[in-house]
Amino acid sequence: MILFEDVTKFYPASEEPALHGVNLVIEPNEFVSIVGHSGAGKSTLLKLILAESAPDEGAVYFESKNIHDLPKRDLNILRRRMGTVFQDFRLLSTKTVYENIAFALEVAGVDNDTIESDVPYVLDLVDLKDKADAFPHELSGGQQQRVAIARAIVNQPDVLIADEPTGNLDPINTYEIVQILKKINELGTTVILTTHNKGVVEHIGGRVVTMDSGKIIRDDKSGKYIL
Amino acid sequence: MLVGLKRVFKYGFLGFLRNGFVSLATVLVMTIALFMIASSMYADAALKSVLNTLKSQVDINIYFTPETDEKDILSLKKSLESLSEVEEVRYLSREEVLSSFKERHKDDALTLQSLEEFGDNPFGATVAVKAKDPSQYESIAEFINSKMETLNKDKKIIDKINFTDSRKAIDTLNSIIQVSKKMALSLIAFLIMVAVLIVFNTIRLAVYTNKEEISVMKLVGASDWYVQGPFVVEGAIDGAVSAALTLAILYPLSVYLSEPSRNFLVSFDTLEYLQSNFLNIALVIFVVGILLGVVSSYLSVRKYLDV
Repeated sequence: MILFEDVTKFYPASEEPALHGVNLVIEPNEFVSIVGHSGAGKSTLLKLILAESAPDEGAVYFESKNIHDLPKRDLNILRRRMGTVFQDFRLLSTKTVYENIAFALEVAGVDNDTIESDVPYVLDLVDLKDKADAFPHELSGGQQQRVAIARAIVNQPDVLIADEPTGNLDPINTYEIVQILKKINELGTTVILTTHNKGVVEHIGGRVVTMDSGKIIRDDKSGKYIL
Repeated sequence: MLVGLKRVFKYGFLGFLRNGFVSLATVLVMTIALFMIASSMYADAALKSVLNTLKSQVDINIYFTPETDEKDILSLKKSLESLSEVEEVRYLSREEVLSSFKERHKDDALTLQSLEEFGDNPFGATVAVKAKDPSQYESIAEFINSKMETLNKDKKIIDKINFTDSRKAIDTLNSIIQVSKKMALSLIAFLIMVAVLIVFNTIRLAVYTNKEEISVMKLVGASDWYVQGPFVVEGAIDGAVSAALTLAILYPLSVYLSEPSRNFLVSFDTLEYLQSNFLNIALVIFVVGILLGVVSSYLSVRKYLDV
């Protein structure tokens, strides 16, 4: 469903490519963990899927469409089929928990009745029903990340992209987040996760893609965290 | 679309309320800017009215000899009135000149006594000519001069014309009017430009603090207008609130300055100006305020949409 075809990406500040001839296929309903040192190219890989930046060579496909050739309108629609979770949560600070989650539905033009039934449902799923009217700064890191996950999954995306979602969390919160991600995957959503955390990868026990210096150096179907 | 529009307005209002401190700062800066624009409207009106008063005080006086036939004077008056440059011609008969002279010197016994010595009325009639524009006195004076030559051929009818005396004053006034108009215009243009830039910069900074959020909205799949909309609505609210605040300051200030302005400028009264031009001023202030907020927000957000 997602296909990287010989993708190379340079950043202006560095001579070494951030990604170097990457080929990768991600199938529907997979749970893929991408591991590697800082600067290995994990985040760049995710940014290319989201079309936050464009590749210098090669192409990235979502189903049959080249993501970076899509007109703006179609890109917006494609992004509504992908949920995103970041290490730094990236919630909308002037919106309440409820509004943050509703926002993902509102941008897709979903009607109010659906929003009023779907948002409480996902809030329940991430166990934050009593925090609906709180603002992000009133929550702990683990709670904020659960709001971010709720926002990412509320419009039932095909793919959930999680960029080091546990990077800022303590072990207990990390465990909870991983449990939620596994549950989402079991419900039929493809999950792409980058992480530094050995425990997380081994707990998930799914496919592991290991990156180093912009290249994929290992791709195990039910891999372990080896660096 | 309609649902989207409703949400854009809702979040615009919420944004204005929730970013309380940023909104307050923006509104204050905008109020100062709009106040500057309102002040320049006042200044422009005051300058115009003062210049008009000065203009209306300039005229050409034609003094006739006492022996002149009233018929000749009235025919000259008529031909002067037919000139397109002439605003008004005022005729004072010999008797009127005498009585106004007496009135002016009623406390001066010596002068009145020497007037008695004449027995008869020693004054000739006068005609005062007012031009539509001070720059036109030159051509009117030329016309009178040529008339004078023909009229004075048989016997002296016109005693003197005071245009040459006041000519210097008229020239000076003319150049003062031109220069002050230009200066006022460029000062107003400059002030408005400064005000616009300050407002634009303030809103740009307010939007800059939301840079991250704009990129998150885009990554969640929001379209450009859905991201921009609430900011534009917020900008419009900033503008409208600032405009209301400006008018609220303008009224008591105009009341307070009413008397000083009348004392100092004679023909201009701040309160009277506000009362007779209130709709105009309110319209300008509101339109400028809202437009400024909307355009600044639109341009500021656009910069961060490319995600």
